[in-house]
Amino acid sequence: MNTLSENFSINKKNNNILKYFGVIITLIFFIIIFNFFGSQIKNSFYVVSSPVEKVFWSAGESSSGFLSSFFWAGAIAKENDNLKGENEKLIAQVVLLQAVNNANQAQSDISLGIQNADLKLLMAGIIGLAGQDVVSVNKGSDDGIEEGMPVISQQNVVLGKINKVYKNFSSVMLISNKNSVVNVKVRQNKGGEIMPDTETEIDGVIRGSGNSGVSLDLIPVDKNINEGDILITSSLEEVFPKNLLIGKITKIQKNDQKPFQQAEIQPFFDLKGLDNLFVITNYKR
Amino acid sequence: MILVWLKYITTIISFYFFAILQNSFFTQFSFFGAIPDLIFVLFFTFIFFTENKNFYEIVFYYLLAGIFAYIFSDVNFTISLILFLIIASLTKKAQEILKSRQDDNYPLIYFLPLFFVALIVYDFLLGAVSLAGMIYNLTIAVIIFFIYKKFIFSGVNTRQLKLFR
Repeated sequence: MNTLSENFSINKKNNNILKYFGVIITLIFFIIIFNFFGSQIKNSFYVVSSPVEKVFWSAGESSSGFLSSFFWAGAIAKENDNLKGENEKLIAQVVLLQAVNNANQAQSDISLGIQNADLKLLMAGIIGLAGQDVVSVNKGSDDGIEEGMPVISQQNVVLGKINKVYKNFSSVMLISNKNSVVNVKVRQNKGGEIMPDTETEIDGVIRGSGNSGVSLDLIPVDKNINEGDILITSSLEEVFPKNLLIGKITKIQKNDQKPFQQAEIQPFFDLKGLDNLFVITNYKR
Repeated sequence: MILVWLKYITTIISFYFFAILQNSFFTQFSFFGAIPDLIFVLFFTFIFFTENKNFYEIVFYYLLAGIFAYIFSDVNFTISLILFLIIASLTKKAQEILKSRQDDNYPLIYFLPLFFVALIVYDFLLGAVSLAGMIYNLTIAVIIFFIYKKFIFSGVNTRQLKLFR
């Protein structure tokens, strides 16, 4: 009887070893397959699922817009009033600046918009998310996309850069991604008027903090920045052309004990309602 | 036999569907910038309701979760597989210790703290800990828990995986 029970426990132990060994072999097999053919497998999945993802993306946009009108009616009304006020100030500013431009054509540094009219833009549709602060788009290496290409919105707002390229799709690392760092300039916003370049430009960097958050850093503590100041890409930036819109300062964190001050940024881009973006395919610093 | 294969196919389709929802529909419903990790929620729910002796079924779930997490996010496949393996092992070990002698062996009172701890471990190892994300994922997990328990688990809790005899 003892021999029988001993044999049984030995058999059970052998079975367990075989079971675990089989599972380990299976896992190693899958790891090898996905490490060697991962790009092709991902590409195939995206080709198949991108039409479905687009439908759900649009459905999400519609539902989100419908629901927010109920829950955020008060906030939307307030934001609408603020935007109307800003719009009026901007119209007045444009009128004034047009007069200045007419008077002195050589000194027209008036726009915060892109000044690189010869850049080549490729429109790409957003398929969906591809990770934390990473979106996937429906253009890939077959369309001329390469890693590191800058990506902007229709309003010349910086979105991010291409970080991975597959045959038929690519992933865009947003500026809110934790691995993103962008050189920026601070343009002061005084009473709704965006001040033009001055001799005392304030340079800094923005870092992604995840979950669509962006923060400003490396601003010397003796420099004066204010809430509402606008951030644009700097000429020091290697990935993005200069003077592209990024966001505005919402909350400043200043400590005289530290050499630099930081600030929270509200980026101008918003994934909600964004269907297409533009890849700059011929910008090389 | 056919029903067992149907269960596998349904599980694969569920993971695929939830991955697409996570990356497209729920992007428009972010909560303080956070989006629910439906692949993790679904994986944990399946693991929680699977008996410890169904070893191969557990392996199937974390392999599937690892594959879909790799395809629909930017995490490396080996890392995502190891993460889910760790979560599955810890969860089943904790369940073994906590298992009560009541009729209901899968109460919400066990599910929620186990899920919360598993989520913290998962987010910490991925370097993506976020309070908003945890709250969002917990809310979705509770909903999926009740749906699974009421409509799926109660109907099939006498079945065991017989594929790997």
